[in-house]
Amino acid sequence: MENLIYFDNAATSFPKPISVLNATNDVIKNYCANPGRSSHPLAARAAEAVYECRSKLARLFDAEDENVVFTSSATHAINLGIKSTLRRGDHVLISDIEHNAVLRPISALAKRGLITFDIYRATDDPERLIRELASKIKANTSLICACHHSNICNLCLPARAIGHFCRKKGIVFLLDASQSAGCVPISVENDLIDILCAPAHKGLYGIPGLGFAIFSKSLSESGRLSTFIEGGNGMASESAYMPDFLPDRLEAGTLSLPAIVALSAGVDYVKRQGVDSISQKEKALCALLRRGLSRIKDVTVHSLTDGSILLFSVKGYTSEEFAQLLSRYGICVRAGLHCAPLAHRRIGTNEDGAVRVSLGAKNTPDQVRRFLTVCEKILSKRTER
Amino acid sequence: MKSSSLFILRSLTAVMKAKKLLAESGIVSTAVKRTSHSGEGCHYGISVSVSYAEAALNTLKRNGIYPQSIEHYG
Repeated sequence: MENLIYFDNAATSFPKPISVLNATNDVIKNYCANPGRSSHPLAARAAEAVYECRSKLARLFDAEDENVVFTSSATHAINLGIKSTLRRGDHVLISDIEHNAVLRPISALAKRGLITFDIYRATDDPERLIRELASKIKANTSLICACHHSNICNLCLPARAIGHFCRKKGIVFLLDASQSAGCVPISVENDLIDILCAPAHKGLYGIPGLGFAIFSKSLSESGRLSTFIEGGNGMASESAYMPDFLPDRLEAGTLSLPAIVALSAGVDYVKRQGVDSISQKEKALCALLRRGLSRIKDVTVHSLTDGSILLFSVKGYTSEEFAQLLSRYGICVRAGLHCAPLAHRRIGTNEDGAVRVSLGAKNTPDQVRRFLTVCEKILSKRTER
Repeated sequence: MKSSSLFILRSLTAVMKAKKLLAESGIVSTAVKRTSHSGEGCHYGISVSVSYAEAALNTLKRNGIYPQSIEHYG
């Protein structure tokens, strides 16, 4: 484990900070009761821990506590956001770098004849992007989805520009912040985001099994949010219907208290390190990696800009083959299409995909140098043969 | 005279928020879950000493939290 180089942080961040580990151990050992069901001391403590996390997320993303809805993952949060706002006959716009977490639910709804959708070209230039959106909206466009940071190419959409455009047009704006939450500042209020979706376990250093959707005040009070999952939530049990206010309207079933407490600790870690500091460090590592890979014969780097992700291909190997070879040296990367076929099509790697290195707060320059040495070693062995 | 005041709020989240706000104002409170006897199911509330009831209510209202009902007991 000590010599392992983990470069798969876009899948999930690893290792987790020790504070996250300690917080998770503490809750499982000492107060892992069901929050909001009973009134004994353990349940009360559990309820306070859940609220504490909601409150931290609300402060981090400039939103209101009650509008933070916990889900089992970012994919669940995105499905929740999409399906609780759309109506039959609606038109949706999604970008050409969306993850399958957006593409698949939208495609499924369209296939059932419930909605229609179009794809807009993603760009980090706000003016060009707004012109693109303006050219594609229709009278019945009710939702625009945007992948804040691509999980394969560091392309970042200008959330605030999209938010302002959508608010002016009365269109709901859903931001998939799966790769950006914890990495860049995001404000639900100032960026005019209606639905912010993110996982606990990537840039926020929590553990898998948890995500969240944060709703804008205007959308949460609009009365237009349909329920997505119905069930018990420990209150007003005499009613056969979900409450009409957040978060209770969109949460049912037992929340994962260990994951919520872990997320709470993860948010504290990110705040201590500083979002900008983590981002700068990852960019510097990415630049080091890019320079090194660009010097290796038969390696093609695909990434458009420096960020936390670098995508590359190696001549003579499929992406999976090369990733397998790297894993024999204890290097963890991901190969293939990364659940982002649209993005791969956009950058021209959709045939075989590519190898993705995704950096995190715990990676070091020494690990990057060792990675480059291993790449050179693998390719020199091929030459010798 | 009753010793405690109970503010019934609409959700557990509202109760937790209220508890935190009151704590920041120096008012000790307890989250309470109560089952109604009139068939209205279970509800959450925040209980404070009756001598702090007015201050607590003002604090909650200032922060946009309006009790669904208020009871005095004890």
